[in-house]
Formats: sequence, structure tokens, C-alpha cells
Amino acid sequence: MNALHVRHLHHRFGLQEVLHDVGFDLFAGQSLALVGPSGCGKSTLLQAVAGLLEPSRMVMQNDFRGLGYMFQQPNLMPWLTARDNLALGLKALGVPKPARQRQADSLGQRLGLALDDLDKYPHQLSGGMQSRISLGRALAVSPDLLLLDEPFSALDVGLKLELYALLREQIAQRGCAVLLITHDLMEAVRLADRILLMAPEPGRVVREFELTLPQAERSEAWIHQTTGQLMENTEVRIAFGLQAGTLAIAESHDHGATHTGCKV
Amino acid sequence: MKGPWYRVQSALAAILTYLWSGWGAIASLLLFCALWEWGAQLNGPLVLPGPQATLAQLWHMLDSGLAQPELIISTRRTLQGLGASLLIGSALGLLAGRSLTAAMLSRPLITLLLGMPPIAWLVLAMLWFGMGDTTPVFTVFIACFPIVFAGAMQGARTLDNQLRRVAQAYRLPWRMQLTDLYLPHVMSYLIPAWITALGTSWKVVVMAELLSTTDGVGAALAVSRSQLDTASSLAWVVAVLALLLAAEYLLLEPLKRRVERWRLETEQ
Amino acid sequence: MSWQARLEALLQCGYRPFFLLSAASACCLMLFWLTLLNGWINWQPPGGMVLWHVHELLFGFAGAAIAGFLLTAVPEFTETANLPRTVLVRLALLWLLARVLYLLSPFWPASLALLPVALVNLLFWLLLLWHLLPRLWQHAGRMHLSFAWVVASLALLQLASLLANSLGGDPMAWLRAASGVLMMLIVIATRRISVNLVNGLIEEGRPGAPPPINSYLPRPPRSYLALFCIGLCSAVELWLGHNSITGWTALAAAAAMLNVLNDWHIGRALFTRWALLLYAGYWLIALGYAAMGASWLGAPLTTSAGRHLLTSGAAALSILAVMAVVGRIHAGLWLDRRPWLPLCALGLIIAAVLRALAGVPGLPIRALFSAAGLVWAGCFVAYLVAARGGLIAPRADGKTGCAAPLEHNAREGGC
Repeated sequence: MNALHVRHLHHRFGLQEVLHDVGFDLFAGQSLALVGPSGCGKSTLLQAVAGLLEPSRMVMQNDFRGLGYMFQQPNLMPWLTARDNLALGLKALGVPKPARQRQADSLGQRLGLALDDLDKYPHQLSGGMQSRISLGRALAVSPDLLLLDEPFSALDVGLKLELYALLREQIAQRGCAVLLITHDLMEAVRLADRILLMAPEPGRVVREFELTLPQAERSEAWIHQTTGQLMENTEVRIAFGLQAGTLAIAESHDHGATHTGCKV
Repeated sequence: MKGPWYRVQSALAAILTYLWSGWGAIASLLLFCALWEWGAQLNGPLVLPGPQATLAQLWHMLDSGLAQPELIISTRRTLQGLGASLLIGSALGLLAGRSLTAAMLSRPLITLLLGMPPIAWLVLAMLWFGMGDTTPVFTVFIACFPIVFAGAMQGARTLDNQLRRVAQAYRLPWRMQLTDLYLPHVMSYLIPAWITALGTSWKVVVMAELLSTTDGVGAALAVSRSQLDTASSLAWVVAVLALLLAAEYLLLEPLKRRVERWRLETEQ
Repeated sequence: MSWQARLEALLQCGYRPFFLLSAASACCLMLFWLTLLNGWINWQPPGGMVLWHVHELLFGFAGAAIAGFLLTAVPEFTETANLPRTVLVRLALLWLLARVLYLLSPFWPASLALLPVALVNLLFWLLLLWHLLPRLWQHAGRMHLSFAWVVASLALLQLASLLANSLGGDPMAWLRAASGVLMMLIVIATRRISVNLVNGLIEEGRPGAPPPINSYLPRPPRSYLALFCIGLCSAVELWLGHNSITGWTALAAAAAMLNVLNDWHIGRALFTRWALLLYAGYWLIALGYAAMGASWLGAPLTTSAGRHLLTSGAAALSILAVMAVVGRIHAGLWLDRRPWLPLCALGLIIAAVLRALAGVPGLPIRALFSAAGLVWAGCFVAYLVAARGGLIAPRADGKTGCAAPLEHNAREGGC
């Protein structure tokens, strides 16, 4: 089975230690959420995994081939039409033009974009449509690992729910692994099979939660209730600064031994 | 599917639309002619011939075959100097923009070069190259170079890091990075710089010729000045301005619109 | 139908009496002018007959059309009540009195000159402004106030012209300026109408009408540039007269009008009779200014050739278009699809071109004058015949007032 294993990930920006001995595993078809407050090094971690950043130290084994990356902002190329933006990754893979345009058109339609809109440039599209294209761009390359860097944090509630549904549908169809980072617990509860809680200064993993209920069976009520339960967890409250206290910094930890899974 | 006939049609329509949108500029030029005519009527034809007299003189100069050779000589010099500065300035500017150190190093030099009056370069060029063809070409080059260099450097410096990450995350090959990331961004800085350089180049070439050569529009202006022939002088000026306007609005502006069509609000 | 019923119908909406007067005066004034030109009648008003011709066509024919348009459009634009009948009657009587007084002017003491005519005309404009200005002023944003400025400047220019005639000046110079203001009014007014007309919004409720489009969107800076150039040209002409400076400003006005046409080049949607009517009017303004500019810069043609492209061409065509549209929609009828309208429009264009050709040296002036005048007057006879229903007949839908057709109202949530 394809998997991503990360161990002993350390990173420093100048004198500041941003990530301290982070490790986790992600297996094909699973979705893993890294949750933590702003500034706990989540984005850095994701960039290290994607190879956009050279960490100070890391042991990584990555069997996944295709990679889809959805950024915090849509980050579309302003000089490419929506269609060409959707097909950017396909073009990089060398898919010939007619084929990639066909794929972009059908993907765009599945994401709720009209053919007219696909001819437009990003600045002519609303924020919601730009986010759809950003999601489409990540899905177009048929990734077996999807990296999501808080892509929904700036969207309104209605749009968020719509994009969650789209995302879940696509993941279910393609069976790709998802690595999601977010500061929104409820988002994590909604989308993830496992949640890793991160704490800042230095950024590290402090706790793992497992959600056993299949995503298709998660109701809104269950999501709210589970999020509420997590919010009452002491470590979560400390990590997000809702409660005074300190969380131990492991000198050097062996993943899986320090945090035993906690079933919710 | 959209056939080739449809493409030809829409291209023709786009060209017509573009040309037709020039009427606003023409209206503005005609208003300027009214102002000019007013000045001419106040000062008399010896001091300031009106637009009609000037155009008639220009027509006469073109008709008698007097103007064309001079215009061609000046145009060639401009294109040589400008072409060199566009090529070298753009290339060096882009390279300088890639490196923070090079940018730091070149910024004060650019300020220096931009601040140097072209007439000073001209004097140096006359000392170095004498009264030949090289002097105006060099002066044009050195006057335009810092403008283009600064534009190119700015373009390369301001590329959005986020977009660079996108290119990296999706493993864009280097050729695609060039065509889909660097060039479209850099062009939106380069083209305005090129347009400014074009305007500068014409001004400088006429000035350089006036002082350093025996042929070209500048030299012809010197002759008409010595003969107190205001109408001919103005006719030469109008000819140069017409060439400049044509180059900008028939060449560079369409190119700019083509390159920057992703910025335009009014695309249907 | 009884006279009372006809009168009742005629006075139910502001455009009705004035479009009737405008079209009727167009025919009468033009035919009378032709008889004067050919010397069949000897009638010498103070200031001469050319002054009469210009003055009456500008302030009689076009003036009535302007009044009719504003009396209908201003209540609609400002969402205020229609004007009461008594006001319409008073205005119409003042307008008629002004025309009659000018005709009688040769028969009173020469010392009075045109002063009575000036007084009655001034009263007409003042009464019109008295009723319209408060609405335009109080409307949110005062976005239609330019109409008031145009009416006020027309009134002032008319007064100046008639006073110049008595006090010793060039009355024609002021009338030429007034023709420039009329062109500005055309640009201002047709811009407001054209958005609804070209995009098909005006007939949105008509069963079987094509769905509205949104491809026509006039850009204000373009028409402001045109208005500025036209205004400047008139001002310079008033100041310097026949001068090449005036010529360059006229050419600038022509170019600015051609620039406005950028708004109109929207592909297939332009090729409807309504769009083409207004579009042709803009072209005529551009050509007229181009011809006048050429004349001022020394081309061998008279200025009046170009001027007639503006007045007998652009102004008459725009007035016909406005009368044909406003006079239907506000009578509760859908737009007129009969062939008389394009034929009349073509007639007006031909008449304007014939009249312009009379300004080119070497062509038979008399014949061209007469042909142009007859075709031109004929077009307005055709309008009177074809559109009489919307002017003097009661509304077919049983309503009264200026409301648009039923379905149209339903869309806007009226009852």
C-alpha cells in the first residue's frame, strides 16, 4: 500500500525553531488533518512534504506519485484563462492540448462552472469560482495525495459547505489520500479520519485523535457534537491558548509510543 | 468547434474595433490643432505657422522626395540604438532582478544613468566616436538602456512568490515556467518601459543629429533653423511625431493589449 | 368621435399635443419656406426670411418636439405625476401664439421688430422650466438635470438672437450656437433612450419579443468628450465665426462623435431598425461637423451644407425616432413594425444629403432645395398619417395617461 512516512522533521527560520521533531504516517485512501493555532508551523510542514521548502532535518518516505496542492489563496495565474488554469498541472505532465482542454471542460462542469466562465480570466471571476478552479487544478492531475493548505478559511459558510461536498465526492471517487491542515477543528472533524493536534512554539504534534465513523455517515449534528467534545479536551484548549498550561516538548519521541490513539 | 473562417472574422473585427477606438485620440489631436491655430493667429506665420501651413509644407517635402531619405536615416539610427537597448537592457535587467545582490548593486547605478542628461552623453559620444553614424546610435542606446533595464529588473523582482510555489508544486518544466509564469508577468513591466524608451529614442536621435551629423531629420532641422524657415522646422517635427505616434499606436499598443488582455475589464 | 373626446385623448399625455404640433409645423414651415424661396409669395419679416426659417425650424419644429419629449420623459425619469391638462393647454397655446406672432410681424410697426415674438417664446420656455425644473432638481442625485441646462441655454440663445435683431447684432450667430446645443441635447437624450431600445428592454413584455440583451453599454466619458467638443465648437464659432480655429474644433467634434460610435459597434444587435435610426443620427452629426470643419478650413463648400446635415439630417432623424418610439410606448402600444418608418428615415437622410449637396458649387441649387424640402416635409406627413392613433385617439387598452403597455407594467410590479 502506498504511504507517506515522515519522521524527525525539524525546521528553523533563523534562530526560531518552527517545527520540532514532527512525525506522522499517512496511508492511501486516508485523510489526515493537522490542526493547530496560527503560527504552529502547519504551512511549513506541508511545504516541506511537497518539496517546496528544504527543512533543516527530515526523514521522509513518500510512495505517492501524483501530487495535488490547494493553497490558502486560489493563486491562479492571472494571465491564464480559467480553463488553462485548471489544466496547468496536465500541461506540466505533457498532456496534449485538445485532451487537457476536454478534461478541464468536464472537470469544470462537475465543479459547477459554466463553459463561458472557463473562457474568463481569474480577475473576472468571483472568489468562490476562483476557489473552485483552485480545487479543480489540484484534482485535474488525478493525484493520489492531495495537500490542502487551509484552502477554505477565507470563504463564507455557504461556499465552504458546497466545496466540502465537492471535495468529499471527488475524494470518494478517486480514493486519494488527503493531508489537510487547518485551524478550524470543525473542518477537520468534517473531513478527516485522523486528527493530529499541533501546538506552537515550537510547532509540534501533541495528540492524535481518530474518527472512526465513515465520512458518508457523519451528520451535521454528529460533527457539531464531536467538535464540541474536542474543544473540551485540555490539550486542545491549551494548544489554542484557551486555557493556561504547558504541553511537554518531547526530547526526541518515537511516534506511536508517545501518543496512544484516542477514539472519539 | 470554431472554424478558421470564424477566427479570421473575429480577428478582423478586433482590428476594426481597435482602429475605430482611435477616434478619441484623433479628437484630442484635432483640439490641439485648434489651440495651435489660435497660437499661430496670435503670433503670425513667421513665428508660428498654423497646422494647415505646416501640413502643406510637409506634403510638399514628401512630394518633392526631400523628406523620405532623411526620415529613413533617422529611423534606422533610432531602431539600431533602441533595438540594442531593448535587447541588452531587457536581458540584463531580468538577470539583475533574479538576484537580490545584483539588484542592490544596480539600483544606484540606474539612478545615476537615468539622471545623466542625454546631451552630456552626446558630448562624450562626439569625443569618442566623432561626427559619424555611431554617435547618435550610441546616444540613443545609452539614453534608453536604463529605462528598459529598470523596467525589466522591476518585473523580475515583483513576481509573486505564491505563483512560483504553484509552479513548483505542479512541477512545471522550465520551458513552461518561462511561458506561463515569467514572461507574462515580466511583459507587463517590459512593455510600458519599451514604450517610454521609444519616445525617448526619437527625442534623442533628433537632438544627436542636430549637433553631430550632416544627414537625418536633426541635421535637416539645423538647416531649416539656419534659414529661419519655421514652416519646414515644424514640418520636420510633425513628421517625427507622426512616426512616433504610428509606432506606438500601430505597433506597441496592440502588442501591449495582446499581452495584457488578462488585465482588461472589458473583455467579453 | 366627438371633438371633446379627441381633445380629451390629445391632452392625456405631454407628448401628444407637442408631437402633433411638431410634425404638423415641420410640414407647414417647410412648404411655406419653399414658396418663399421660389418667390411665389412676398413676405418680409423683420430680420429677413432666412432668420425666420432657421428660427422657426429650431424653436418651432424642434422646440415642440423637445417640449413633448421632456413633458413625457421627465415625469417618467423622476417618477413624478404627469402634468395636468391645463398646463399642456397653456404651453401649446403659447407655442402657437409664438408662431402666429412671427407670421404677423411684417404687419406691425417696424419699431417693435421681433420683440413680441421674443417675449412669447421666452414665456413658453419659462413655463416649461417652471413645471419641470423642481422635479429635475428634487430627483435623487439630480442625474437628469442636464435637460434643464439645455432648455435654459436654448431659451437664452433664442432671446439673444431676437434681441440682436432689434439691437443691431448678428441674430444668426446665436441661432447657430442654438443648433449646437440641439446636437448636445440629441447626444444626451438618445443616450438615455438607447440603452432600453438597443438592448430590447423596452419591449420586454411583448409576447414573442426576443429576450433582452446587455451588449450595449454607453460609456459616459465618450459622450462627455463629444459634448465638450460640440460645445467648444459652438462657443468658438460664436466668438470667431468663420475661422480655421472653428474648423479644427468642428473636426474634433466630428471625431468625438465617431468615437461615441464605439459604444454602438456591438455586432448583430445593431441591425434593428431602432438601433440603426439612432446610430444613423450620430453618423449624421459626425458628417455634418466634418463638412463644416472642412468648409471653415477652406474646402470648396458652404458651411450651411454641413449645418443642414446636423439640423435637417441628424436633428430631424432623431426627432422622428423619438416621436416614433415615445409616441407608441406611452400610448400603450408596442413599437411600430410597419415599413413607413425605415422609409421615412431614409427619406430624411436623402433630404439632408440633397440639401448638403446644394452647398457644393456648380450643382443646381434651386432644384436641390426644392427636392430636399419636399421629401423632408413628406416624411412628416407620413408620420402624421401613420402615428395619428398614438396622438389623437384614446388608448386601446382603456387606460389614460402615459403608462407603457400592460405587460411592461406587470414586470415592473405596477397594478
